[in-house]
Amino acid sequence: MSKSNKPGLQDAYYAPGSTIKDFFRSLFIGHGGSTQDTVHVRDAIDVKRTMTIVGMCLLPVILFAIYNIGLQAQLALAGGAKLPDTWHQAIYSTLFGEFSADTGFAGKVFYGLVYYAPIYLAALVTTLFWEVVFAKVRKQDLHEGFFVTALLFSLCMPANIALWLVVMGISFGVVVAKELFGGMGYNFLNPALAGLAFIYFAYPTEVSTVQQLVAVDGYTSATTLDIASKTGRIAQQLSFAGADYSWFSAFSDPKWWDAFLGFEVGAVGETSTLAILIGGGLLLLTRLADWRIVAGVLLGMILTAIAFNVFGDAKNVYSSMPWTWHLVTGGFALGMMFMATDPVTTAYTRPGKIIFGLMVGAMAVVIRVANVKMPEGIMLAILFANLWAPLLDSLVARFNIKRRLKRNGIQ
Amino acid sequence: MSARISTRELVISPIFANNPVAMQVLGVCSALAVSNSMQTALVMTLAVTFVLVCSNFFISLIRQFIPNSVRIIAQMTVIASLVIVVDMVLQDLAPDLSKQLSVFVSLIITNCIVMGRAEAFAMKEPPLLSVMDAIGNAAGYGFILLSVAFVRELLGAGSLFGHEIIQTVANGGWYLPNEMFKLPPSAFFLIGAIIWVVNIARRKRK
Amino acid sequence: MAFNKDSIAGTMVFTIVLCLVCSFMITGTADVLKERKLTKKRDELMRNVLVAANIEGVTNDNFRDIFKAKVQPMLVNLETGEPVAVDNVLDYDANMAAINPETSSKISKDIAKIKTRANNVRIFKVNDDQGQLQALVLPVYGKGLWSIIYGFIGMEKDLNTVQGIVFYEHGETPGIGDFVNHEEWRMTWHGKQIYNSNGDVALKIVKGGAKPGDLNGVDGVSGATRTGAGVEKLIQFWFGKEGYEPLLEKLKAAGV
Repeated sequence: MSKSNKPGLQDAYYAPGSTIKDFFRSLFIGHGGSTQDTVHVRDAIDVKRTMTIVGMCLLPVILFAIYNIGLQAQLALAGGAKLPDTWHQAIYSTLFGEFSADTGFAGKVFYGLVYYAPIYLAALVTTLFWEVVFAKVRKQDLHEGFFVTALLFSLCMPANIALWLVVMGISFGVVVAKELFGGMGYNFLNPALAGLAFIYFAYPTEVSTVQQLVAVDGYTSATTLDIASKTGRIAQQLSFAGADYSWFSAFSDPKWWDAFLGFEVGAVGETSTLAILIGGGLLLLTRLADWRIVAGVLLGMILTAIAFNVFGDAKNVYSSMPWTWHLVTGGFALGMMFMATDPVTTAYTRPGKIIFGLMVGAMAVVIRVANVKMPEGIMLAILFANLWAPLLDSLVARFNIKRRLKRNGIQ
Repeated sequence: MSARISTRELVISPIFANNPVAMQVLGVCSALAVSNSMQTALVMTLAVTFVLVCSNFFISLIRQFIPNSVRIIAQMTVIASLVIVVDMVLQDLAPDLSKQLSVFVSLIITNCIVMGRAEAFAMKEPPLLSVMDAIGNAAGYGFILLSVAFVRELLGAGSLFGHEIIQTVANGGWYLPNEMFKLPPSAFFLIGAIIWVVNIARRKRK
Repeated sequence: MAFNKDSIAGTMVFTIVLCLVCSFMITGTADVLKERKLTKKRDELMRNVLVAANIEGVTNDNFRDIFKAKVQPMLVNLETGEPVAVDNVLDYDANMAAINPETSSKISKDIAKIKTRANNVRIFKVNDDQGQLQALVLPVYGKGLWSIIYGFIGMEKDLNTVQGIVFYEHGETPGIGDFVNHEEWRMTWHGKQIYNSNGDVALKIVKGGAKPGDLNGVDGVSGATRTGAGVEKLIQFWFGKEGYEPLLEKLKAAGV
């Protein structure tokens, strides 16, 4: 961590009292050394590189999401839905003509872009606004974290969401969960998830209907799409009746493969488990995401799911859902790979990370099973575990001290 | 309370600078529970004001005679009797509201503000000053309760005192009520925000 | 003699005086409010009886006059059907009478789950303008899912057809079991018959809705099956052998 304290050329941009223009320049021009504050004090890379890598790892997810919005809209059109009369359509039809059930690949991608880009831009502009406001007041430099916060937040949104909701949600997340507590590196909750939770509790009717998930008007769940999507909300129609549906049966189930690959209805970036696993895998390789957390979440989920399969109430669909399905439904994969691994809000100690992960995985399944009205269990599970992270660290540290004292015969 | 403080200070200071809810974090339980509408918040404030003023007055009146060993129990007896009286009167005057406030009127007995003022102030000061102190603290409690209730009812239901202020979507307007403000945790956020603002204001003054 | 407040005697004296003063304060308030409470209770009783009898044109202002003009409250013995003299029927504490061992008796077949019932019960005869019996209002109560449900049921002069029903006190699940005092549901009782042609209690709460023309079936409310079952049971109890049946027989024989 230690390095020369001689101010580099670019460090001038961070001097107090610099202008807005300098703020923005600081986003694009790397500075001389690593950050010195606490953000990534345990690692030797800076915020900018971290955030760029996370952004790149999210690329497969984003690209697939854009395509899938168009694809799902098209399938719904074929199923009898109509194009809505919104500004999205106005943009699309002036640029590319009428969107129909047999528009080609490029058409689908552009259709997806027309829906996804405004969500992301709205989230980005809002976070940027708050970042600038707080950076100005605190006389701090602008941090790149908001790119990723906005990205993750937008990926959890349904395609049909009203933009003012996006703005409200991300504002709450950034201001309350992050900036009020000191900004970058001081947030005790994942800001994207805090914003998501806000929307879920504040406007439940706006984000919890299936209609919101598809970018058309009058979508009624068509047969093959009825399977688990935005956290198995639709999983009620799935039947895991009887003991003959074990976890590996999923591999011979074409519906499961659809859900795994992502050809299903769902929140923008949560459908394709495969894309998330690819991106997440890269993230693990770069060591930005700690494998202990991911392994913990996965293990916690599997164990809890099995426990429910064995001891749970067979009438509750979620309780008889095998872990393979838990993995591919809803935001679980995205949460596991990209949100639970947020370096600021997790435990820092290694055993703490594993316990943190187990907690997230177990809680996610428990919430799904116990409360059918609150299907986005992973979101609440991560927020809950976020609160525990400092406690876990403290416990691990205390345990370590005790053990070492004992080993050296002091106690 | 060794140094004499002015009566004015006694009434004003607990409203902002030394607010019992925001600064001493007392009586938060009822502040969370009954602050979802202005009406319940107002009635609760009145009830607490009555109990606080009377208990401070009576306890201060008999403070010379209270044996040290049964101090707390004596205070509790006075407070509990007052709360029972308030509860009975409320049931008589406004049975519906009394049902909405349910157990929280009785729980004024355990409201730390009442106990706290009795023990910390009324036990040592003459009746008149104690009443002033009670008024100040009750006003501080009411200020928090009413401002939280104001935001919660306005944003959560689009109304104030049950009268529609912003026409909601359900009634054909444009405003989509924010469900979160109907849930008790939102009071936490709001009280937190008030604490933040008060702290900033105090720091500026220094 | 100097009063030492911290001595044992001083403490005792203080506590006793304090307790006395506080209890006087409470009982004083209770006493002041008692009369108002009684009036309120009486008012509520009057309104409930009028609602159960399905009298039209009852408003906030005139219900006391209507009640005075039309309703004849009386206390009767359940087994003999004979009226019992009592000072003030309206203030008769029916709940207390039902649990006091001296004024109540154990129920042998306790389907309403109330354990004991009062020997003497308050009934209300509602007369029309000519002084003829128009309706008979009887108190009923029994256990629902969580709580005892209290109500009045009003019958036409054939002592079989329901005029109206009202449940004024219950602790059922809010939003689910509290349908019992919803206006629409209460209105579905109008015109139903309690006894079938054989003279047995036949009134039932039908899950999923009664068939049109079913004289003994009242619509059940889905999701509140056990509250509904409780209502059915309490009707069956109160109109059975240990309830009002002897009284109704007697009234019918007397040709009212």
